[in-house]
Amino acid sequence: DTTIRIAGTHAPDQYASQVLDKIKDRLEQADVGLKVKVFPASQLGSGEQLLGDAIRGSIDIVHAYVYSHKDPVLELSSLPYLFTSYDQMAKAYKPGSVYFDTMEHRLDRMGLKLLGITGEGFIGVMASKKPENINTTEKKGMNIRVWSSPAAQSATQTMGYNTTTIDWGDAFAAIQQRVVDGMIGATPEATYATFKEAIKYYVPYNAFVESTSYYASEKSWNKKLNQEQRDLIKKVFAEEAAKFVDWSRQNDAKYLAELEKFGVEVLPVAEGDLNNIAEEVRDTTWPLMEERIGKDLMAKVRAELSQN
Amino acid sequence: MLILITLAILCIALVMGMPVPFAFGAALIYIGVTGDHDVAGFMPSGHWRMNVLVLLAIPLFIMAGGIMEKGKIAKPLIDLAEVFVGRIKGGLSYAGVCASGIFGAISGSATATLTCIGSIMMPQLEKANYPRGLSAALLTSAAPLGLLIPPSSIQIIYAWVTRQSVLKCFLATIVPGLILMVLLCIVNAVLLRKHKNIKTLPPTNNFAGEVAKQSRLALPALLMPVIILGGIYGGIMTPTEAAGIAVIYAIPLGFFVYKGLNVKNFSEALIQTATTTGVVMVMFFMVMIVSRLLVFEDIPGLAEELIFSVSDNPIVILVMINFVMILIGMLMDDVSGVLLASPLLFPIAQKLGMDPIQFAAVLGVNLGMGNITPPTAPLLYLGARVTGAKVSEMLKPTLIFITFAWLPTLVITTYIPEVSLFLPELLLG
Amino acid sequence: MALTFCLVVVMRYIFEADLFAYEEWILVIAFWMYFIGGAVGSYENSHIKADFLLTVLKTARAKWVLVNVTLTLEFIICSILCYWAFLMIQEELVAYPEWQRTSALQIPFIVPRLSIFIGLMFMAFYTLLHLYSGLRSGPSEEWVNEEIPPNSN
Ligand code: NA
Ligand code: NA
Repeated sequence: DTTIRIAGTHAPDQYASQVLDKIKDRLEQADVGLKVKVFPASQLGSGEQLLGDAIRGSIDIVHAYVYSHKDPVLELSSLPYLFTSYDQMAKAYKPGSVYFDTMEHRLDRMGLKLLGITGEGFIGVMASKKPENINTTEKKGMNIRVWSSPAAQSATQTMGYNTTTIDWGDAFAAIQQRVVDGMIGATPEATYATFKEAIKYYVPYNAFVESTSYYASEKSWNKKLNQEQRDLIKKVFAEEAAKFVDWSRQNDAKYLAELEKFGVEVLPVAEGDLNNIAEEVRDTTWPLMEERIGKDLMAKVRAELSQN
Repeated sequence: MLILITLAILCIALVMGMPVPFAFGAALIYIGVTGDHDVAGFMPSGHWRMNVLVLLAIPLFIMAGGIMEKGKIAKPLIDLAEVFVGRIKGGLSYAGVCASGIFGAISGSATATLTCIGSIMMPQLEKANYPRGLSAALLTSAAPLGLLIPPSSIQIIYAWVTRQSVLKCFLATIVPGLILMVLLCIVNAVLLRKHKNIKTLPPTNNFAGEVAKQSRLALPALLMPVIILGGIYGGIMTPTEAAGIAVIYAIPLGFFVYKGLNVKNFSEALIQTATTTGVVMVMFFMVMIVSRLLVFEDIPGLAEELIFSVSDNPIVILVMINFVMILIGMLMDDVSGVLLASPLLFPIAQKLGMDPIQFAAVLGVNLGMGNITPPTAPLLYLGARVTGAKVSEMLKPTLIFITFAWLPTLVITTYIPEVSLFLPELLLG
Repeated sequence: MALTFCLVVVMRYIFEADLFAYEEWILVIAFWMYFIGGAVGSYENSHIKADFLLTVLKTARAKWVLVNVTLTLEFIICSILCYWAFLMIQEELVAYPEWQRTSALQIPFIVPRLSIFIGLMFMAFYTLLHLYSGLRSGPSEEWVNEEIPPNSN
């Protein structure tokens, strides 16, 4: 039997981890001589570290966010308001789209094989005090935590917030202790799981997507696996990845309701207003990213997604 | 097999007197040569694990401790504490335990607690004729209070992995932490009995006057914990930033107020703390690389087999879970330990009906203890470094503290759920 | 470094600004400090040790043999680690021009990682130096005073 190592960055009882367990069962039961070891919860390191280890062939398959430290073009996946709806998400993450092909090609250049893109929900702003005029980009008079990315910083500021860069691990304490008034960077589910006690409000801005990918090490792919095994792996991962968009549509809604039930007020932004905010954010933030991602590519991806 | 050989290599290298980072280097070379690994990935994995801002609190607190020591800032604080407890035999060492608990409320890390309290308390303890090994062992055994009294870095990780409420996890370890403090003091009192020549202050008839006098002298220094604690709990800064502020506040205090600092010993202090930082962090670096490789080598699978192979009696399984956690603690640092133990043991504990919040406390106590349990005992070695004691003279008293203070705390926390659940239920429902 | 954190706090409250991505360069400085500090630790022979055996041994000769055997092993280990660090540097260099960079400030990873290689190189060198001086002076009184760290006696 060939043993393959799959590493993930999700907590063991998160949906993504359950899917990995399911994938493990499907691969092992298919009787093509595969044994699977799953390492969940960043046991083998952060997404950045896993990327390098997969290139090296120390890890065979990874499920994590694709960081851009080895290739700036990969920052494409963290462009604010690349799309705003689940339908567009489904379109972008489907094999054959400009977005998918670009990611596939850039990963291939590094020695990685893209097996599927998994959307895990939209990201909004949570706050401990009520943000004013959320329907526009006017100044909110609030300082919120942002992760260390120029795009995220610029987008959040355009949305009308002052920003402070704080690590995810320190974010809860920072909100709890009022170092900041809130943060951007979590889906409804993550907000519910980790931050609900520290906050009072949640605004589903849909500014960013929590998007991770399945990718394999080309080294292992070529050396370790036979054709039958490769075909099975490709098929199983593609099938499971395709289910993510619908799951995240339901899961976001489910946890927005759970937040309400817990006593966190959800402040929805009307669709028209959201589109205006998105437009403004694209105007200010996208030019900053042109140099690294490429203006043409950004325009091409956006054009495909905004078609009906 | 691999685990046993790794353990054996570590033990032999350490007993020979090889520096800890290179003893781990030896283990790393063994695993790297025998296993299926790309050795070019080892060093980058250390870089990734160390490349976090939170770890910077360690050098900053080492630096603050060094400056407080050279600048004679710590002395008025301890003098003040002595006015209160100095007349009881062993009072100064109880002050050390309490100080670790209080400092634990400042920092999320046992390491920062040990470096700061250890370097400030140790000279005073030695001056008062306290046995060096015992005092160093006590301060080291009390340092994990930094992990048990919130904020705590490992509870944040645990809560993240198991999807529990961070606040509840924070609250779960407070009572076990207090129990531990009491037990440490009791064991210490027993161990101090045979030491006759410990100095205590002469009796006084002007207690209030002395308090007033020492308080006045200590006031500028007392502001330091006030700034740190107030800054963190008042929501002005993160613990790492507070550590930076502590350094900046301590420098003028040492130069102009307590006048212990001059240009010469200030630069000496800087060089010395930089070296200590380097020595400590290079050790962490190697430990983290090896910890991660052990995960790679499927220690999780082995642990599960081990636990269920013995018995299906819940009480026995609880013992086995603790046993596995102690093993993990012996082998690994606390961050790797919590990353490994929570996904591995949490489901088993849940099957037995243990509350996830109670498990947070059990895990916290276990990994805190693991940090001082050889062979992988970063705190023990760090304790030797900051106190200037020998590891060999610390070993026996440390093992006594583990057996009679830590283990009972662990048993209480494991078998009496109320201990950890009382506070979270009271405050958060 | 402490100054930076002060600055972060001051900026936040007085100027209401965010000292953006400071962790990226401050961690680079930190790594150089860690590994230069570690190298000085080797020079001073002040790395953290748990030398039970040394305290058991009585004669200077026995101590001399033990310490120098340990130093030899240490030098070998250190050299291998150093070689592995070299492999890491090589990997970074070969990726040119597509170097791994930090996300915000675009600092190449080779900048902090070089400190690991250089630090380990110095550690190996100083270990060798201690070994050389030990072998040259033999198990003399002078050697005991110089090479046996004061806190292991
Ligand atoms: Na703490
Ligand atoms: Na340990």
